[in-house]
Amino acid sequence: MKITIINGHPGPDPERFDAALTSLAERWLDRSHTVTSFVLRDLDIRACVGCWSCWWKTPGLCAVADDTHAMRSKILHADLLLLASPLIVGFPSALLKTAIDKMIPLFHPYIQLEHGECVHSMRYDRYPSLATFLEPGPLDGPEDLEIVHRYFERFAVHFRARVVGQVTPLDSFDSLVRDTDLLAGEAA
Amino acid sequence: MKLTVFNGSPRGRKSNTRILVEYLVEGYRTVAGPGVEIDLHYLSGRKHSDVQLEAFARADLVLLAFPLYVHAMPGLVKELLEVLEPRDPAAGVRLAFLVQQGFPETHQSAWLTPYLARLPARLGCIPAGTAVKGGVEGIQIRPPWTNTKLFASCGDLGRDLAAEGRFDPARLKAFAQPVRLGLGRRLLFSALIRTGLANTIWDRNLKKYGVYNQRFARPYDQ
Repeated sequence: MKITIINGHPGPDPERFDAALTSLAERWLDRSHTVTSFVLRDLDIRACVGCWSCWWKTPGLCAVADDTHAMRSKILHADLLLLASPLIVGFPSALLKTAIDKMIPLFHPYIQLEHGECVHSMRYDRYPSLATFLEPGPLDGPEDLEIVHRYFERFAVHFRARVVGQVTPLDSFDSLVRDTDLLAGEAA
Repeated sequence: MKLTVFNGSPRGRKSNTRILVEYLVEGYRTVAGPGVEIDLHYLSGRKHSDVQLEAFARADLVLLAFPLYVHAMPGLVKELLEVLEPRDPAAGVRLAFLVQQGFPETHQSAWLTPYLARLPARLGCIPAGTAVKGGVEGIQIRPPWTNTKLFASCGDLGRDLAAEGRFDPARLKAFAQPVRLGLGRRLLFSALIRTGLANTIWDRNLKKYGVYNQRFARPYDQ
């Protein structure tokens, strides 16, 4: 199964975070999954400017040629997308959010109703399932982490995706690894 | 009291956020007086970040206004939040939010508002309320009369902010309508989708740029 990891740790001192993320990736590699990682701080990520080129000038393509082009492709072709970030001021990093904002070209401008709510129509037939890897900061309590977890659950609704798991670097990754295998079993 | 405004729209001065803020500020002025200081900052462009930090450090009442991007604040707003120096709680600085979204139902912002409710405390500020408005995309192209009520209610929010130092909770509740699409709106919207009217803006522009027949393009399928 193909897994794409988006690492949104902006630095400084990402070593411990990265090491924990690598140990999760290695668990997946051990189980014969393919893992592609994007370390956003090393990439050229330009913020969405709301120009809508991707919706009405070059349908499906962002007008800004940055590294999110390759990122979108790898996200779309993955079975599982892992979004990773420390919580900074109680929310995933600006770096990760900027990358999330750039996923809009994967959807249509067209709106449809699903479960009585507006959603953007799917440009592609399928999107990856979702997992998160979030490191709470020293001031973050369980409620803060819960708010962000619920945010990603909503994010997944737009991706018509299931949230396979949401872990922190201190968690055992056993259940996430097991559920990834279950997902691979379903996909096969 | 001086009002410090951060416009967090990536579209900056061309944004719908700017228009809502202008009406809000107009309402603020009618209560606080025409001479009241309005310290307005645009986050897009990123040239003035030191100026923005200084503005927050000296603010008494702050309004952070932005469009909803993927159910949360745009990346550039999060950038500002990460560099702001928290204020001394004893200073009693108030922090209000204005979130505007394209989808009509403000329930779409419900995954962000719990975060915003806790944010002022993190920044040493007193919460002054979060105003959420749906259906804002398109206000610059639809007939002006359709915006009359929206702009008037922005003015009311500004008046409340000046008079009470916070948004009025009852007003916020009315402002956020519809929170969810009722049966009537769902039926209407379904009809608009079926007839293609809901997509007029998109189709018109796709045609304008000569790519209407490529509207279902899947560039990443190749």
